[in-house]
Amino acid sequence: MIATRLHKMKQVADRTFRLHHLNIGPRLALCFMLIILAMSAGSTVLIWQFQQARTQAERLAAVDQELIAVLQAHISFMSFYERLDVLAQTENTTILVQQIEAIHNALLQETERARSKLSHLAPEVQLDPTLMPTLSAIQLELPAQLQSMAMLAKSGDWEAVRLRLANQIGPLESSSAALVENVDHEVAEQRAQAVMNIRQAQQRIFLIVLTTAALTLLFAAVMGLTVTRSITQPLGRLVDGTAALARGDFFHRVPASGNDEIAGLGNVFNEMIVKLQDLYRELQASETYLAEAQKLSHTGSFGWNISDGTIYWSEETFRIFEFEPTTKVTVAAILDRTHPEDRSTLWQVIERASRDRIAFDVEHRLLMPDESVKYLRVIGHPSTNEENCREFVGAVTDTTDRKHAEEALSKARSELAKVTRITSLGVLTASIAHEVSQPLSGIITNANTCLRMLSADPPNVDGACETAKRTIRDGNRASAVITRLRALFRKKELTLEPLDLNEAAREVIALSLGDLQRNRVVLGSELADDLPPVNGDRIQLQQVILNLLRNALDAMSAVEDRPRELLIRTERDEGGWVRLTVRDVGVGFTPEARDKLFDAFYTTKSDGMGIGLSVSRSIIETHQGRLWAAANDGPGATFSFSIPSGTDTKVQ
Amino acid sequence: MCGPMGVDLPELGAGQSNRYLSLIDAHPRFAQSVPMESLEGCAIDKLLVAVVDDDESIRDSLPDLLREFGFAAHAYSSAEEFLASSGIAQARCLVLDIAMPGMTGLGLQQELKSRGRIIPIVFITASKDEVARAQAFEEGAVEVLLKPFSDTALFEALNKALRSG
Repeated sequence: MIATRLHKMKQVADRTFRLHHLNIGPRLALCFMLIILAMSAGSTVLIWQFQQARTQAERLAAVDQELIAVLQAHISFMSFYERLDVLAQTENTTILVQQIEAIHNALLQETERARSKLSHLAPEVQLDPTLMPTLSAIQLELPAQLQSMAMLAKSGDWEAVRLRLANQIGPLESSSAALVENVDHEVAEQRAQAVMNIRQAQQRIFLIVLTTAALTLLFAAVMGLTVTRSITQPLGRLVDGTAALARGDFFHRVPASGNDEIAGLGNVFNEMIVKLQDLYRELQASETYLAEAQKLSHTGSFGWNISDGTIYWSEETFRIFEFEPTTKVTVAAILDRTHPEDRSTLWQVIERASRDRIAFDVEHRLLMPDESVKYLRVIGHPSTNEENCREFVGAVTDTTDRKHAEEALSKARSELAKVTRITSLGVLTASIAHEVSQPLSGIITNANTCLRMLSADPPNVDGACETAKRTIRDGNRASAVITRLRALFRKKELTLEPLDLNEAAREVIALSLGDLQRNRVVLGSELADDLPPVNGDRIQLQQVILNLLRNALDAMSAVEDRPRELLIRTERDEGGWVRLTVRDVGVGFTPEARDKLFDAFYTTKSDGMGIGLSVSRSIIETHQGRLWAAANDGPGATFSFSIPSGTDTKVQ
Repeated sequence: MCGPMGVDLPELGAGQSNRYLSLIDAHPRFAQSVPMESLEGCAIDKLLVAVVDDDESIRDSLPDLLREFGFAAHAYSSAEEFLASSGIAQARCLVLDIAMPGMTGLGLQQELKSRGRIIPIVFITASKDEVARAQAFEEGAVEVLLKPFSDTALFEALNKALRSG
């Protein structure tokens, strides 16, 4: 109840005072100023009361002084009287006269002193009205009396002296005594009053101090509380706002009222939240797009700090490697997942990258826990161009699908080629068989007929001759078939054009990359820069290169103890010719086989047709060149062909 | 036409009609049924073997051999020619090339079947086409010989053909 009341009062006070429209500085200044004012007011009142008390004290002192003065006067007067009396008794004139002079001076002095004292009293002191006149009377009368007394003494009338003393001065003395009493009375009164006043003043002071203290305290407390709250509450709301922001709550707004600094801060804060919210939304959207894109393209990103080995992976990278997103990624873990055969390659790449800080682009396989294999392409480069850049950024692409597709395509292509080869060869064979077997059949039949005719009784010689003639005819026919076939084989229409053998070689290499990779062949190419163009049939020359490549591949298919290195080299040959060499480290060939290599239907392959090299040689010879083979110093063989270039100087 | 059916010809090809006749004589099947006189009287035609092949060498060489075997032989250059001729009625056996322009050997086989004319067929072919070979046998061919074939192989095949007919 009280709390709500206070709260309401506070609200009213707030509204009335509109503290929020003042800046904090002025607000605090105002607060302190009011407190100071209150204290000043209190002090003023206090001082006033102190003054009052002091006045009373002074009055008291003055009254006391009054009494003292009167008493002093009286006492001196009394002592003077006593002395006179004593003097009168002694009846010594000279001493009397002397003494009277002294007494006279002393008396005057005293009264004068009394008078001056009394007249110098504080004006608050109410002097007894009879006081001063009495004193003046004494002052006036006494000297006269003294004189007369002196004269009397001189005359020797000591009785008269004593009489005068008793009658004239005596009453003076008693009047002064009476005065003293009066004054004493009055003084007592005044004193009592003054004391009372002082006590009153004391009480009032006490009260005032208390009240002032209490009021000031209360005021200070209220002001302090109000002003403090007017600062801390908005600050609290601001703090809530920042806490909400830290939590990620972008919808929180700081309620800001008024236009002091805190309200200003609150407004700015709200603007900031809105901006952050927008930025965050944009970022989220962009992140989502990126993540989706990574997912769709099977490409994940990574960051790698080569000094401390920390690795960051995007979601997709985790998915590609099939690690839990919470695992800590290390180089060791990556190598662990890598296919054993590719581990050394990958390790070399990693070493080189971290040592030389150069970009890398490597393809390797992963061996998954379920024994499946994934093909990966990893590209990375230093994240900045600085010399001491310690961070790499890059991407990991899962190329398994593409590899499979490529492999399937490559396989299909080679199957197709094989089938085509076989088919066409089959067709060729069938055609040859057909063409030749007819006359052959005729020959055999005729010969058999001839034998029977001749062994008949009598022998049918005419018939036999006829069969013999027919035999010759069929033989010729068969011969004609062979001749035609030879012509068919040899004569191919060449489309001659100037071509760059390097380019042709590169195309063949590109076509065969799949095969080469599948067979784990390490391809080296040394294509001369200054190769002159040759005049030739591009397709046919490429067929030759392909044939040599395939042969090399087949020759190395059983090689396990050494890297399957295949070298293709082009260079200038003498006389302006151009030479292409294919070198392998395969099974090679025996010296005896060397002469038969290029023979048609000579093959060492179980599924070979044996026509590749013979056809290749015939193509090269059509180009006015030559094709030959040589065994290597080490394992394997080297096949080379050399053809004249467009600028050949050799006369063919 | 008069002529014995299903006569077993001996392995050695005898060309003379005399020997031929004596063999017929010896056959139990004809021992009683066909009197020698009727056989002697009647001009016993040799069994006609028709050769159908588009290749000249075959057409020139094969009939002579067949005649040496003791058959009568006639060569046709196409299936259509054969169908249009009298050979279709007279031929006791057919030596047929498979691959021919126009109607193929297999086609002729089907055609004869559909006409209800059952003639035992010996196919001769230059190609090793397994599919055609299988089909030929399926449709009832006696033999499929690959050119060039030996005379012995041909003779055996003809034996088989005449036995089955």
